[in-house]
Amino acid sequence: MLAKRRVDLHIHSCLSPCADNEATPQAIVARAAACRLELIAISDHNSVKNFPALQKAAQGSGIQVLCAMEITSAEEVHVLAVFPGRSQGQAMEKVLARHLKGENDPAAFGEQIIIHPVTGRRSREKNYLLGAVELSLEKVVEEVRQRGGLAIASHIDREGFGVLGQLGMIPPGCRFDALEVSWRVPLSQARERFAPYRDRCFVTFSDAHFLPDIGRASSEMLLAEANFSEVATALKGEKGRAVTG
Amino acid sequence: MKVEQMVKQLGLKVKSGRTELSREITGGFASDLLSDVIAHAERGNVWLTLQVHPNVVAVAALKELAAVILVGGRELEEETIRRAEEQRVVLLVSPERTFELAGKLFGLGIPGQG
Repeated sequence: MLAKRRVDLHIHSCLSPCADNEATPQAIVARAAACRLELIAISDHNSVKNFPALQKAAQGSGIQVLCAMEITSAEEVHVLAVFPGRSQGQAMEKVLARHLKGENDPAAFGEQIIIHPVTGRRSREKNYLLGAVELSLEKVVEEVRQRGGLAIASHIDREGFGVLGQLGMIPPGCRFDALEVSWRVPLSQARERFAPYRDRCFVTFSDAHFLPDIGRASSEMLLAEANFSEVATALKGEKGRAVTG
Repeated sequence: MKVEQMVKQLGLKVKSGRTELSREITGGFASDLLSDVIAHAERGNVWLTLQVHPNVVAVAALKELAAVILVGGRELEEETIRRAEEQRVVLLVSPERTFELAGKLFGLGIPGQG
């Protein structure tokens, strides 16, 4: 049966150097439950390494989880990539790792903490995740879609790292599944504000870097179940599935 | 100053728009945020950027810029050059970086916006 469900697919965990070290997958699930979210994803920069811990943390919580990451293209455009499963996300992560340069300096950029799904032990990711990969925006979108993933243009209202800020307009050949507006723009105003793209699917997510930020924005979707294929259908607006608010 | 004089003085490589080099330069503009260029560059400006995305061509055409200098010896995709030829956008390449180039442009008497 179709039902309206609250979805937030853009949450950073302690693996993102710019996010709070307390934003562990477990803490994120607890906060998401308090905010009555039904489907969430951790979308760290260029990595899915905290997805296993998220899956573990979500068990028995009533919250469903998806595998996602936020990719930084060569033009420094952020793309929210959501994958059908863990293997596709990990395959994409391998591609990106070949195109990322440098090691993280925790003092300068922040810690990159991986949480072990079983023991809960913390370890550090050495490679600098916040860098831009040496792949064009079009190539990033293509690589995501080749793996069955959804490519969403992150926070298009933001000047820095949004596709409109970096590139002035959405490149005609770029096949985004949806455009995300940040919590600063009510979803109801997105179409009007970005009129040239009014025919596209718009979503809004929290882009939380700190636990209290979770809940500041989320999208309501009409779905039969809280899973990947239902979200993909809703972004297309097919079979009665839709983004409703 | 005309684009062709600037090309000679600075030793720039011409990647597209060879027939458009007699354009007069009205000023210089340096930015890597294309939205910033759309908002603030003026007609006839020469634009310095390290972005090589095909949208650079669209923005240069939209703003009727005299030329674009791609800094740091960036490689261009064939598609970008093809679009530039189509839209009569002058794409130039320099091995130097933005700071050095902007200094040299000032030296040639090309003004900024302020």
